[in-house]
Amino acid sequence: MKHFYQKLVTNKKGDLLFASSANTVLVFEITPSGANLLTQWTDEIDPYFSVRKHHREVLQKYEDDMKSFSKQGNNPESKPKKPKMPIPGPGAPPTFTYIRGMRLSRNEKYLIILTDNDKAAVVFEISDKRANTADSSFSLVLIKRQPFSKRPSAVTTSLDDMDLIVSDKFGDVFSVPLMDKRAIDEKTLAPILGHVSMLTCIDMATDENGRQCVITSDRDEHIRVSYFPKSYVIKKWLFGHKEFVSSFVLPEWCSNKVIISAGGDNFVCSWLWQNNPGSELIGKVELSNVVEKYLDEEHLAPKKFQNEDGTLKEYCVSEIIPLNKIHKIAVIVEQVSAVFVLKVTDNGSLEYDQTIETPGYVIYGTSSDDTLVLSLVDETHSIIFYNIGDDGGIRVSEKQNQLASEIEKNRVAMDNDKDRVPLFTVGQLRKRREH
Amino acid sequence: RAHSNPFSDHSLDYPTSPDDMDWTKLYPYYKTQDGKISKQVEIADIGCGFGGLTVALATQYPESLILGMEIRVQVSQYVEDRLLALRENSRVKGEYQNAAVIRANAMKFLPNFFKKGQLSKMFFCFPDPQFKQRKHKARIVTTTLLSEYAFVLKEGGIIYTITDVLDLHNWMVKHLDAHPLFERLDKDWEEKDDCVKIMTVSTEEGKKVSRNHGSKYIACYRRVADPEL
Repeated sequence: MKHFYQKLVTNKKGDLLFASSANTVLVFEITPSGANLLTQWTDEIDPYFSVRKHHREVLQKYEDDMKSFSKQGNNPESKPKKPKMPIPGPGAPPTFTYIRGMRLSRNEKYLIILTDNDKAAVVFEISDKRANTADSSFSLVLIKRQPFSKRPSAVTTSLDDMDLIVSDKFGDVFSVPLMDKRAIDEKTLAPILGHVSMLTCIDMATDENGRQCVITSDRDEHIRVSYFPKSYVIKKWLFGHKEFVSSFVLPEWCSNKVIISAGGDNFVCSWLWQNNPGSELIGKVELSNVVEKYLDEEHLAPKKFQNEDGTLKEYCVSEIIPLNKIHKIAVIVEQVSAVFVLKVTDNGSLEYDQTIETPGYVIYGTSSDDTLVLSLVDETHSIIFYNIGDDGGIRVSEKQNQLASEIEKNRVAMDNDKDRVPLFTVGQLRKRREH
Repeated sequence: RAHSNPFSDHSLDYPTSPDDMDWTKLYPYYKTQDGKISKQVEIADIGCGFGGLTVALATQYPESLILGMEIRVQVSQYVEDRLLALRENSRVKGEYQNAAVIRANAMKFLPNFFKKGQLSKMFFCFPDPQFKQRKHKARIVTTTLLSEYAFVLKEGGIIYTITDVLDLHNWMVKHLDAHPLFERLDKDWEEKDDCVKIMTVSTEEGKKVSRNHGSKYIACYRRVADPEL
């Protein structure tokens, strides 16, 4: 039994594919004749890392308390209790060691992954000496493992790639030097900005005056634009979503002017984010009419929030992938066996284009100029390569079998279904408003 | 209940954006013939509690619209009833028509209500001290949230804070001092300012502290101009 690929990233040229399966990153070379595994890295961290770390801290406190206790003369009532190691018992929710986020630096020289267990961003330098005939090696060189006090949710780099910018599930954003090998003690890190809401996506762009901005989206319908590095000065919010925002992108062909965003709403938004406040939202495409026929019982709302007929289905967009060559975006809807392609013009107008059906639920995707790569829940087609034609067509690659076989083969083995890391978690962001 | 968790998903009513907010429902007296509002809210009492300060500010600043924001539903309902009664019983035309209350989570949704630079004064009177270390992010004044307060405050606008908990006072001072968009106003200024006087004596919490002979710690800050970006 093998694990699926939960994250994929390709470089712009499309000749390198970084794929994460459970706790392993695999790097494939994509050639005209097929794919070759170049290197891999497995996160060996203890699944109870956080629990043990916390236990060490309380144990230290206990020992300090014991010292002062024995000094004070012995009142048995104030004797500190020795803390137990709180390893979860049977029935406790499972913990996983897995890679929950992955992206390349803008110059494509560094790979950054987010880990779940120790709440860290791990930075690798991509050492590519394939052109060098004497050496011809390819490796991921671990630069550092930067821990955070709350679980990282998204990562980007500053426009000059000097800073690693990480958002967390508590709503804060941190900036640390990307290339410096020394990790900073997470307790001394101060956030550069914060929302009072879980952050879902982060990116950088320059505004109409050429000033660098950091853009953050959250579970409370907000997209916020703050200046960088003086991120205590907020430029604006983009208002229009009615549900959580899970993902946004700044398509390259719109030269920084356009943001496309989506999440728990049944629509995708496009924004001219540099416009006057209040007039940024310029495009909105309803997805329901094209998505509905792909929804199944997985999309039924929980009982407590279900309608009388028990037919209420909910869906959400988990990811948006820009297709630079043809000025379109591919939209991934959670637990749906299709992706939805929309056209985006240079000035941000948005239009439905086509649906691409897939043999299984789409988990994640990535694109280079000429290819769209999707990972799926399907035992025989866990990865599919699409060619992006000059005519705007998106077709399964003629080399699909050659490309996929090596990648299928290298999926991480697992003992049973329970070891599968959560693949569809975005829908959980939906707010259930009570009292 | 004395507390409300600012992180939970309450069923709150808030506009999608400041432009979508219908203020005429809260301030019907200021509704113009074309259904718009003739003034903008300028003073916000964040966590207004039972509304003592909101009510006092209404008569102190009859020309300004004042909004109390309170997250606890029963408490905000109480203030709403109180303000309606005051409006009805007033013999002065328009008195208390400039004050209103709304149930809201100001930590999450303040920018949904107010535009950039809309407010001239914000009050944080006797906020929940959130004593536990791990609850500190739930405190209403933090460095990251101050950036949002700075966004809705106009240059020269004032943040007023008062508390009877020294630890919380020090916390608020530390975070405000550290924020580049705020500068502290000195004791002289505090002594001369009407609002400092009002917030010291008018709020229900303030009166309770006085009855118990507790201390009141005050810190006021001015919103300074944005730096060169």
